[in-house]
Amino acid sequence: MIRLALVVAGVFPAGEIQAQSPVAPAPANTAAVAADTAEEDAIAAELRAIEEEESRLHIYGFADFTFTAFLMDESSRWYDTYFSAYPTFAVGNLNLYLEKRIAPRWSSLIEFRLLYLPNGAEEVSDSGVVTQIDTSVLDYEDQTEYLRWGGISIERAWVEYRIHPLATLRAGQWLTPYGIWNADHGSPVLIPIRRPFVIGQSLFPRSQTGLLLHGSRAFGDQTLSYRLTLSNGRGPADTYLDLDHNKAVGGRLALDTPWLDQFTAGVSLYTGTYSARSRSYGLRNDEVVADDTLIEGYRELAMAADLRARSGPLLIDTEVITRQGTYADAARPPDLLVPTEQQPDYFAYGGYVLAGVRLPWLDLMPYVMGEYMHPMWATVPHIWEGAIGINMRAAPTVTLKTQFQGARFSGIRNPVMPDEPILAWEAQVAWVF
Amino acid sequence: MPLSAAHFHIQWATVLIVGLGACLYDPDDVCSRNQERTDTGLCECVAGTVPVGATAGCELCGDHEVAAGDACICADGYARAAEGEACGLASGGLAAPCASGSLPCADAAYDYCRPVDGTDGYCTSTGCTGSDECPSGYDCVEDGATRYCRRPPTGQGAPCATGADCDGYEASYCETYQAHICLVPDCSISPDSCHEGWVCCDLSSLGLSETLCVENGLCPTG
Repeated sequence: MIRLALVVAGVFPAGEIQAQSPVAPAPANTAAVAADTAEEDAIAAELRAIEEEESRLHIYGFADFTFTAFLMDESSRWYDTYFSAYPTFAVGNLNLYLEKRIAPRWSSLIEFRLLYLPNGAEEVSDSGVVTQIDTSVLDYEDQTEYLRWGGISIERAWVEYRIHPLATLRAGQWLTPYGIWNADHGSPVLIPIRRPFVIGQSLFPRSQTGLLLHGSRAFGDQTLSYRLTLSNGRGPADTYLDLDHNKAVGGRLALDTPWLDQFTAGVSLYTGTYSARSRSYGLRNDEVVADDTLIEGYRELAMAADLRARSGPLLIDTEVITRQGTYADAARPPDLLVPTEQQPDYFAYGGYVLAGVRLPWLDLMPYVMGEYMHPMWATVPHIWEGAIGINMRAAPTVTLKTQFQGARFSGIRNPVMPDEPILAWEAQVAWVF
Repeated sequence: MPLSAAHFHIQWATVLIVGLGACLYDPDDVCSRNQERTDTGLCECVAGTVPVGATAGCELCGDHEVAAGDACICADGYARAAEGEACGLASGGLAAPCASGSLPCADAAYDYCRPVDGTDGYCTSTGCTGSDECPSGYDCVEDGATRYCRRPPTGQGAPCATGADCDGYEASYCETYQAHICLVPDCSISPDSCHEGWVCCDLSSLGLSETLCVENGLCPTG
């Protein structure tokens, strides 16, 4: 049942679990009615046990530990700007889930990520000196020792009600339903170590706060599933505060067919308005008045298409994502590097293809991934990236990975990002607990 | 009634085509009003306009005004009678051209002919104790025993693409690296000789043998 819960949470892919479902119907045997009855009783008992198990609070999670070494020449200017020249171990994700079927038709999921941040995050002073935040404080439990405190990121917090077999309404903070990667975001089930750049850049918001209606229906041997969303959209504090009247809407349609061994195609859409505001107070006619100013505002439209095909040991994942943004005339943000100039409207797009083969030995999967992105940054027109690696299921709950990857930002028109390749080698162990 | 595979595919294609046809982005209109795209792809104010705050686009300067940094100032020979008013012909008053000994300032309120080039200069007032006593855009500075209201350097903040665009201005240096505006070169750091709101920036640590007046807070070397 833990694995069933992990499917709900997106830690394990549903297909993998369905094949091992303990509630699969037993083959009919009309010759022995008594035996059938006994078997039905056994199944009913098992279902009751499952229901009891599901109604308990499940606490589980995943984590990963990664070694990263950048392989550029020591003179690479990337070391001066974005990347550390020093090979590093890191505990990356440490995510916990709380999941429960809280009442008939009602269920809830909460996911949060424990962070070492903000300790170690870089700050740039007014004079351009980069330093790292130090959260060390004297531990009141032991007045001789300092501890470094970290933070918590709430990834998801929702409750849902099954209105009808075709419609379940979810309320709260949920992952935006788009593509393959954002749903299956637990590192133990991801094939490569790093997300594709086009996913990391959040052309769709990673999560939203609002309502999500979802369901699916089988048509013969094909299944059509849908997601419809209504949310605050993006904003400086969109998990609990919308700073405009415009609610964001979106949706996803996915078709699952039996072609090959698995063939799933989906399209996703999101559109909304981002608003960041400031407020200043003053005196006018002896009355305190507040001036509300939109300091950054834009409309956006994101669209995506994705495809997952699996045939025997071969797996291919691919996604194409676009995002258009148009700023309000009076709320166009300044460029970070050239503050006297402002950022233009943009049409960002990109995609990736990931191909892997699950070998019969040691549950190994060699894989390759290639991607391209035209980002929303005006001064960085092209990003190319490629990776090659091996994924190994050491145990059902433990995944080992190693990969080489290279990237190139070309056509750069700003003084900070060098037109030089980025090369890295990484190794990771990711586990479910 | 079960839907056939063909129906599925038609619906699928329709959704995809309708979706991809939707558009917010207009490649011919990516900046705000009164802005144009720079060589680096960013948006900047067109000539004759000034930025409104950091994010609120650009507004056109009025008649007889020129853009200087983030403010519209009166063109040479024009002045504002009071802050907020339109620039009018100076006619012997504030900012009017003058020459020591040969072309005196006619307005008693602005009877000091501040030399700029030899004996030629502009009319302004003396005796200020702070810039708030000076006309809009002017700052109060000391020159020996005289404290006077100094006009902004000509051309300061004007957009430029090459050095030729700044020729003839006191701000004769075209900064072509980031901001693409005319700046006053060869300033003094101590005491700071730049106009109020600007600071003398020493770029020697970047390998440039220059000092330039830049807007407060924008000196990359602190």
